Amino acid sequence: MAISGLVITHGAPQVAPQHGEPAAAPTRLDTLVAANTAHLSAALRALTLPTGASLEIGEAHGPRLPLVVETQSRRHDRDVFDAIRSLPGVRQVEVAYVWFDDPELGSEPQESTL
Amino acid sequence: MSQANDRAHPQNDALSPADAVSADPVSRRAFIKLSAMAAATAAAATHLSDATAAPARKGPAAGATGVTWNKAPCRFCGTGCHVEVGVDKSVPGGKVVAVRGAQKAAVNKGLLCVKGYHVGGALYGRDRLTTPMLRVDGVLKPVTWDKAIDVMADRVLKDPKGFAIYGSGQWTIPEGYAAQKLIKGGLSNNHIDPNARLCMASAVTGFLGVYGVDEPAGCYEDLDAADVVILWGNNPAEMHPILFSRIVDRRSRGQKVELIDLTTRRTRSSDHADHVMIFKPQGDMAIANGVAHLLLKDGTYDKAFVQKHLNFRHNPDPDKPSLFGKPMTFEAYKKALEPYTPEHVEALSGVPAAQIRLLASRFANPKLKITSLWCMGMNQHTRGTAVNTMVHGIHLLSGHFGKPGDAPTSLTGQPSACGTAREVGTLAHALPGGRIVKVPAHRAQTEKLWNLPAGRINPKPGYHTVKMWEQFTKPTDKGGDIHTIFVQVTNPGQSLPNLNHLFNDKKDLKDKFLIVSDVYPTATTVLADLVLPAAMWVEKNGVFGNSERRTQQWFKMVEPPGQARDDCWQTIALARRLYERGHAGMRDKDGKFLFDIKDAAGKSVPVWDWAHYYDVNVDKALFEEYRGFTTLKHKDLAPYDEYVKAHGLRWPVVQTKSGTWRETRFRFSEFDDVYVKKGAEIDFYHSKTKDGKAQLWFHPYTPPPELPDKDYPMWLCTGRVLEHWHTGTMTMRIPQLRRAMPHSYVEVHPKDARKLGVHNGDKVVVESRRGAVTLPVWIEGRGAVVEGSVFVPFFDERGLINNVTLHLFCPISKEPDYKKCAVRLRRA
Repeated sequence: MAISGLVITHGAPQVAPQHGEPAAAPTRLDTLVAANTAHLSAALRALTLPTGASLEIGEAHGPRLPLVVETQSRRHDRDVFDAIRSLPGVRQVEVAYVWFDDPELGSEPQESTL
Repeated sequence: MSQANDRAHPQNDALSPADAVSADPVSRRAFIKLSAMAAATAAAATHLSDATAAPARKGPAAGATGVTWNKAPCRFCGTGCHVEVGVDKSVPGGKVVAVRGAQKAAVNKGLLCVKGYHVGGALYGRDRLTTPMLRVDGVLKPVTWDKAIDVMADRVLKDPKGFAIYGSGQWTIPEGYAAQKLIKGGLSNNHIDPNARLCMASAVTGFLGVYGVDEPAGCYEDLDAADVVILWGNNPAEMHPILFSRIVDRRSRGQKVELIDLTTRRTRSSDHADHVMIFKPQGDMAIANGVAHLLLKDGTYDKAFVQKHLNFRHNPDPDKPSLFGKPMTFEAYKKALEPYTPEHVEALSGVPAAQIRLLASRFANPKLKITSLWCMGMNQHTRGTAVNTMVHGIHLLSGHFGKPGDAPTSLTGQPSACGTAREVGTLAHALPGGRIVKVPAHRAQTEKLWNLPAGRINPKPGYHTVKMWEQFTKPTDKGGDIHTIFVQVTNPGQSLPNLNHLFNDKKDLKDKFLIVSDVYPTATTVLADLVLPAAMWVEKNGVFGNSERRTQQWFKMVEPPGQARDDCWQTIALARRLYERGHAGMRDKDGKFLFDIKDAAGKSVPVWDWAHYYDVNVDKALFEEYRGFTTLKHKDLAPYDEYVKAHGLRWPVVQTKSGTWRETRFRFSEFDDVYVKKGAEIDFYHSKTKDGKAQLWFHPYTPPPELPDKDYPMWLCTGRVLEHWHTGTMTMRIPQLRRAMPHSYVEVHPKDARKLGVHNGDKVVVESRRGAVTLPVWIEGRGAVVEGSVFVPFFDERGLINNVTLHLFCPISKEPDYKKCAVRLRRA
């Protein structure tokens, strides 16, 4: 069992003012962020996950979306992480929590190669 | 109950109450998922770049028992993220089973990068070293600790002048302090240097040359206020991801942060940049001069700042450069820069003149806030000190200094390169607290604080890293006067440059003796004569100091495996054995043992005996002793117990009238630094010219020490990757990271690959005048090199790129250049 709490930051709204220009209207920014969130949530739900894996999407805070990934095996944990990171519009994936008490850990090739 | 649990710090009150896990598998799983969502939601609601406090984590209610949480800084890079470490106490000795970002830590506000995320796994590789081993007839055989300490003492007593310690920016502050005291206060030979010499020594000499005192004036909050962030050969998207997240986070909220990437190859940071300026190796010197030239020519420099706060300096004889050089006039400075027109800079650096003008225009705009970041790209440079001072210089010349967001800031790659190597001063020439061995008054201060007889500290600097290893791998009868090196917390058999010159020859030198304390077998233990199993990270108490002057403390949480023991204990045990065997240096002027550590009742505790090492908090005792040095150069630290309560404090930490302790975010700025003279606004109070002014340096562009030619026609740059930390000793044992980046590679431009007739995965030999390594090709791999150059990461012990690199170094910082040398490629 591997469980991770992740935070995705998605596409920066390209409405940022240039130096000296007035700030964009907040409603426009909010609308874009909400649209990006919806788009990303749909993409996350459409991800092909390894057998037994699940993904739970939390409540977005602006362009930052929390989610929990559970995989049956640590072998798949990183694959899901990478799949999320490569989704269109994903700027950054950070980690807030990881449970890694994994019986499989000891079976990996971890020793020196020298 | 384990020793660790016996002595565990009471639950930190900053942590959530929901810190328990049920034994029932279903509710346990549900509980963990709820906790994970709570942590992620709280982190998502927090902006890394927002100075306000993070929202409380609303986790599931406490109920069952089993896992306790406590704080620690991450074990990996110099960012200094705080993690909360979940320990399962039902496992004998305790076991780390979970990690989460510390919500209330200002550095990372609940977030971690992919390495920090896996940091707990670094403890549990299957090949942890668990018993001391002595090489007998070519084979490492288990010995007792008593025997191991005896062997070490024998090596010292054979010839104390030839015994050296090679340490690390991963040493905790007490570990480095103990080693420093043993060498400089006990053995009096000054032969101690850290691996940090290889990564940030040029930053140190840069700060000293400009401000008269080391370490950045600003802090990470500059990244929250900057309008423009300039990366000078720096790739924080991979090397300091949480800092880079602050920029990404601001942009995600619609803020304009312009990112300018000055680099020799495209990286993941380049992908986010507004302007990518690819320069030829060593072109950074020309670029910095080009910016200064335009500021002066256009009259857009900050005249008031220059008048009030700056002097001008240079090294008139380039063959004999010195840290403080000679004064020059403003007019002479201006004249020296005249040749550096944008077109000339383009010719030297390869960066188009228009981009040089663009860069200068940012510095010319006083309304912008500009933060420069750099790390090994600028420090690992045969002109490292010079280029560091030049980047400080354009910030100072343009007045982009001393306000939040306006800062020249070097980053560090190791968790305590600042705290231990720089502040404790575990460098061959230094003493704690910014003292140096050459200065009689500094030696006298140190002897007083250590209660040593006058004259105990040797005025002659010891050997810096490259010299130390040269003297070790040189035969004794040819002048190789270092007979033994005790290596702690680092892996020089992989990380030293030009290994064929500085390390590999050891195997044929029978009278040389290598002692290595580490947690795993490494490229260094391969040649070790004595291997000592070390405790790591939360298997021991510790204190680190990060890149922004933040000192961070943690407590031991789990037992180390087998007979692994703390590095600090190893040092004290060696000192005690020498004391018992009559080495006079192990006594202070009253005849007491150098490490006489007392309990609360004032009774000496035999901490050299492992059974008693944790009877008292040795870290606290050493830290409090070390604190006496920190006020000598305004690097004041608070009492140890203040750090127990905090997620780090940035020095100088000063006591307020009400008795609380206040950290400093912006040094030299009156609004935040209590040591600045009233009304001065900016005060460089360690000015070398003793007038409160910084030194603005002119350095001419000089070509690299080795250029591609017909025999070796390509440039080699070495570096790091996101998944692996430095030599990979820890991260290559974390399955997820190893799988993500399983082996090293050589990054090749498609045109060069075509010329060679190689494809992705084909093996090629990367060869220099010094050595060779065979690696698979990755065409435009993680980054993208320019035609005629290759990049190789150094994390993989199976393909040692440092057999190829150059060991030439900056004449002032003594830091070698790993970023540019001439190589050729051929099919394997």
